Amino acid sequence: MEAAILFWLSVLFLSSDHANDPVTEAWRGRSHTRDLDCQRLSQAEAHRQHPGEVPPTNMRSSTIMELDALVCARRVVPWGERNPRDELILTHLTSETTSIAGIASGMMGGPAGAGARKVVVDVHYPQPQVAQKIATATRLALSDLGHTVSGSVPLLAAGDVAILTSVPLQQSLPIACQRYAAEGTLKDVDGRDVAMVMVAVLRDNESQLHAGLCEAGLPVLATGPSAATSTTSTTSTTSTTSGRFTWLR
Amino acid sequence: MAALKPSLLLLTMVGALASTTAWSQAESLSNEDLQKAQVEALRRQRTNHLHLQAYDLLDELVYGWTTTPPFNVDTPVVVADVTVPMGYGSGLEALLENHLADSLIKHPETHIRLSHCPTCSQVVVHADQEGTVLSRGIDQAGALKRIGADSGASHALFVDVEAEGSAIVVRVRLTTLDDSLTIVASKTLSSSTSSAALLRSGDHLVSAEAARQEYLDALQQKGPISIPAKLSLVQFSPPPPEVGGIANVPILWLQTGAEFNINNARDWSGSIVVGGTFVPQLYSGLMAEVRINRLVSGAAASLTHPNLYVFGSASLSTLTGPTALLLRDQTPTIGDLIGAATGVIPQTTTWPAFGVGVDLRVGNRVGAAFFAQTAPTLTTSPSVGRYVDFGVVQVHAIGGEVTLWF
Repeated sequence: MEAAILFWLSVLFLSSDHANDPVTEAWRGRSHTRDLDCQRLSQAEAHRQHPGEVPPTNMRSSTIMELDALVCARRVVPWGERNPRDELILTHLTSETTSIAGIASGMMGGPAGAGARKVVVDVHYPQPQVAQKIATATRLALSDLGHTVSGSVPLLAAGDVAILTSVPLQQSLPIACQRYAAEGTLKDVDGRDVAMVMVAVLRDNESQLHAGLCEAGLPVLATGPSAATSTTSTTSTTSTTSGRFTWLR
Repeated sequence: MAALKPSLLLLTMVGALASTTAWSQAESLSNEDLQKAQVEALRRQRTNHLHLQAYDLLDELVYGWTTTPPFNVDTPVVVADVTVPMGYGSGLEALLENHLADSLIKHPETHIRLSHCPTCSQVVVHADQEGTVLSRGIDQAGALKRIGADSGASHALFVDVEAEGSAIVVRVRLTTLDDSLTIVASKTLSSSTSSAALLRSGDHLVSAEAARQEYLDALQQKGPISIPAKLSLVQFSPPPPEVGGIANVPILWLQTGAEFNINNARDWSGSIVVGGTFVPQLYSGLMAEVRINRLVSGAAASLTHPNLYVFGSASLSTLTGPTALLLRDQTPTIGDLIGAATGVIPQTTTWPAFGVGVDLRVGNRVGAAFFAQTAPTLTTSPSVGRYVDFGVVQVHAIGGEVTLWF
């Protein structure tokens, strides 16, 4: 009897002390287990991160076998509470935006490259709150790489927006880039060119973030009726800038 | 009576139907309310956890700014926007904003002087040659200069908190308060929810490394050796009535010694203690005990929860005085007692004992134990009975003790 009481007391204490162990929580169901984020670490790293729970490596035993630890943490927001696509994107927000920033920075030649242009970030995502978070994460990732980043986003005219929303994003992003350049909005207040990192989810059923880099290209000469002389037959030549759009991923 | 039966039946059915409808409505309402309450409770629970993590990261941010200030001189800054993980409300935003403001005010070495900017969060109308825009002040590129002039600030602070899997990530950027909103300083801080939030005093922030060192110091608070001080009480089992022995009095021991922890997890430890006792007219004595403790309440001793150990012990005790006569093979007679009083009969008894027990400790500071002992050499004593008889081993004594560790 005493042994049984001791046994159950041990089980009780063990289960409370190992609350993060997926094995001891397996009986609580699959959905409960799915909400654990687990990663396998070496014993040394696990001890460094959780010194009270993982013992240090033993010099003698480590020569015989290598032990590792499965470190699990519960998700802050369980699966199913937010829109699945939003959740997937937010879960990998840091790694995804860091990757995008890294590629964009490389394309621009690093923070010191191409005249140390200022960078702006524009995000196309159906959910505005998520779009804002993606933009913030991308801006900070670029800033961490040493780029000068602006928090403002150039605007397009309502007519442009109406047209751009009627074509698929794969096409509308390059067109938008052209329009930004043509409107002269790819410049900062000092008149210097800025580069725009455009981030978007291209299809309704995907959770992959795509990105493109929009830069002001060479000036082009456009010939046509000027606004002031449109009622007459005279033509005028205006100088505009072409937008150079490059898919990053 | 028989004529009343159909009407009674009808009345009962109508009543039952009405009550069933009312009950089902009440049930659906209560279920809905219950679900709402459960969701709200869950949300509150998560928010509590999340806000502690976010507090921790904001403290880390402010600490970082105290060591490397973003500005060289005092600079007025408006808290432009605080956003929280999707699904959490403005209450959490206000909570985090207040905490950040509190930390910044308490740490003027960051050179950030907070300015109030009601226009930043309010919906304002801005009209210029490009059109009229209705939005939050901070979102109006054309109006930012005016907002900056109104608030007296030159920079804006944006804070974004998001839950990414099991981690809370805080992204902070300081921008110029003009049309370009150029980022002048930024910081991304991430924390894992697998470790508890380090709730630090707001007016004495330390770095994550220092906080970790404090944690490790707490974990290894007393080193491998600690000094216990114990007060224990041992009671021998009274003899069975048919033997006719005299029941022994409880023996009180005051003990101290050393306890050795094999590792920092404190899952195995051993102790050596010596003790003494003195009760006038009854007994005085000395004892020594070795003990091995095994933690059974987890892989490592907890600093915050009670720890349960089981132990095995071996002891050698010696007692002098009339009580010692009761631990011999014969029941003492009046002659024995007189002989003991006059010194004719030696009144010292020494016996070994082996025991097992459980020890509940709180914070490795205080503990209480219960144990059972067998004394093989006292088996033939008529004054010592058996609490439990397993045949080969008998429990002759039980005891309890209270321990303080230094």
